[in-house]
Amino acid sequence: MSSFVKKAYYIFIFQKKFLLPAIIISVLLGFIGHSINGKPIGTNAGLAYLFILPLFQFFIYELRYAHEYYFYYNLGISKIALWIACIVHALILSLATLLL
Amino acid sequence: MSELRADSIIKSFGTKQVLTDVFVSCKKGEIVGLLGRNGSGKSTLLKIIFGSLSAESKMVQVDHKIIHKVSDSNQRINYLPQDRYLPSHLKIANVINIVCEPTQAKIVKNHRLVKSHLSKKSKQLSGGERRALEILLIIYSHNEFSLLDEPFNGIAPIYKDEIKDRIQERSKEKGFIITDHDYRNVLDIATKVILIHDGGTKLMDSTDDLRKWGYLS
Repeated sequence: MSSFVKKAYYIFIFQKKFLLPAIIISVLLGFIGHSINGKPIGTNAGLAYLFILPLFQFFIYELRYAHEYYFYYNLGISKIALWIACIVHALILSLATLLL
Repeated sequence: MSELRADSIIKSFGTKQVLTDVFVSCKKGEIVGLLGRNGSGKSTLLKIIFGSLSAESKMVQVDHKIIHKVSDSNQRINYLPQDRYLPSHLKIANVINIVCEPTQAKIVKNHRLVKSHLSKKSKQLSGGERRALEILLIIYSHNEFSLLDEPFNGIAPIYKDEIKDRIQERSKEKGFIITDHDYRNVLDIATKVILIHDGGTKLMDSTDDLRKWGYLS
């Protein structure tokens, strides 16, 4: 496995912890947003995801499991890289829902 | 031979300077015991060397490659923190496969404390079992230097000797810097002992030196 693929896999493992709850809450917010502004559920969910994903990383890793960062440091991934990956992931998915 | 050198380390918390121009080196094959009183800056020093904590001044090198932060070392250094650090959402077998090369993973998986828990998650282990797994993962990872912060804390006496044996065995392949309040365990395996005293480091030749500098009574 190349170094890039390995690091992407480690980042996926890191985000796996809060991915499902973030998706569920974003979809729920998408439904609520649709009933308020009439825009497509996907667009509202995508917009919610942009904020929910980093919010989950903050609450889960910064406040609750801060020491687990060391596991990823030992794999050569810094906290900044994990935050950038989270924001890029949220941005890509939000843009994708806007374009759909 | 691979060498880790940490030089000119200065670190303050508020107005208190904890580390003043510290120097530590560790070669492959060495086990460096780092001792010091509570609050002397042992853990701080290890975190600075590892790159997870910034310092006012530092020069950390592995074979002349300067390391500023964790991602610079290309996984040549790893660190065992005092607190639980394994991801609580992953199965233990998966964690071992991620951290260790296949040959070393097999050794860790076959360890008597780990073998029966492979399908569990780390949060389902007892404190001692989890700590033993954490140590084994650090010891058997492929990194060239391992920094162990309080490795014997929470480990049953019967396993301490085994862990010391394993550190000695693995020191043929890598270098270790160990700090622990249980100084006897550190002295048992250390090939070099360094005392942090008044923010500086002093090389100890014998337990008499530890008495002389006020670490032992």
